[in-house]
Amino acid sequence: MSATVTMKLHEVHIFESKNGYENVVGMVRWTVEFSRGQFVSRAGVETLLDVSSLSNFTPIAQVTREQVLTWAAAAQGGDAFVEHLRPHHENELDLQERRAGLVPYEGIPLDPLPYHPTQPTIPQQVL
Amino acid sequence: MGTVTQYNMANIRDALGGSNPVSLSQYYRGGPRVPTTRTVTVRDPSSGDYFNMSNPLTHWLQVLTYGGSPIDAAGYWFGTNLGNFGSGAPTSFTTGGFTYFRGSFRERRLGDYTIEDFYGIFRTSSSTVSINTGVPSSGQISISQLFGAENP
Repeated sequence: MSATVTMKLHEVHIFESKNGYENVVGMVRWTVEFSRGQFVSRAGVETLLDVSSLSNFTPIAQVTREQVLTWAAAAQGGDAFVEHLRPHHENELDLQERRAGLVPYEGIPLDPLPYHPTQPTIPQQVL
Repeated sequence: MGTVTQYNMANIRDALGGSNPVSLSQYYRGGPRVPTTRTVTVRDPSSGDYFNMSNPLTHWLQVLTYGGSPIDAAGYWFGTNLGNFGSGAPTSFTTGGFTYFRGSFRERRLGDYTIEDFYGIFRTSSSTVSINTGVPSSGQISISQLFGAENP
């Protein structure tokens, strides 16, 4: 069964002033979610929008979430972009399905995992 | 669809699509059956993935809670920190004209408050190239001009 695709908008960044216009949407961070039942695989996307030509400029007050996602998706290549991502995420969903129901078993002596407190971690992470 | 490999109308129709009776006028460049461009995708590396935990860092990092839920991800591409992907720990991330993909699992490490899973990483990029440049977009058109034409 082919995964269902949902787009989610996470961040919108604007130029407060650009080529005579105010509040021009310039960058979007969004996610393409591939889901199959309870399983989800996410594709993060950061899209820089082309703001060199603003002849069809829409004032920010009239810009909807759907419009921003449409702009972002189109800038990445539209349906072709999603289909390019799909095989990887279908594979990820296959793995999630195969792993479902597995629980750790500690009845066999196990070696501890390596501990690396100084290894690169994500700096912004709040724990 | 495909590529015209023979000098006959049936092969043109099979390769480019089209209706019967076959008329060459439906095969102008820029029309629905003879596109002007094609998207080329390059995978780096061409198969498998890159993985290096020392300089230059090249790996995909997935951060888990002790309960096993992924909470974040980040990537390093030959020393370049691709950033904190967030948003539910995606397994691909598109930025700057490239899509980076999580490759195969390599190593699990304990952090202070989390578990870190390290994977290989690979990326793809897409570009648009002109095609069918020998096919006229109007006027007279011949079978020989369609030889090699493609409809991806």
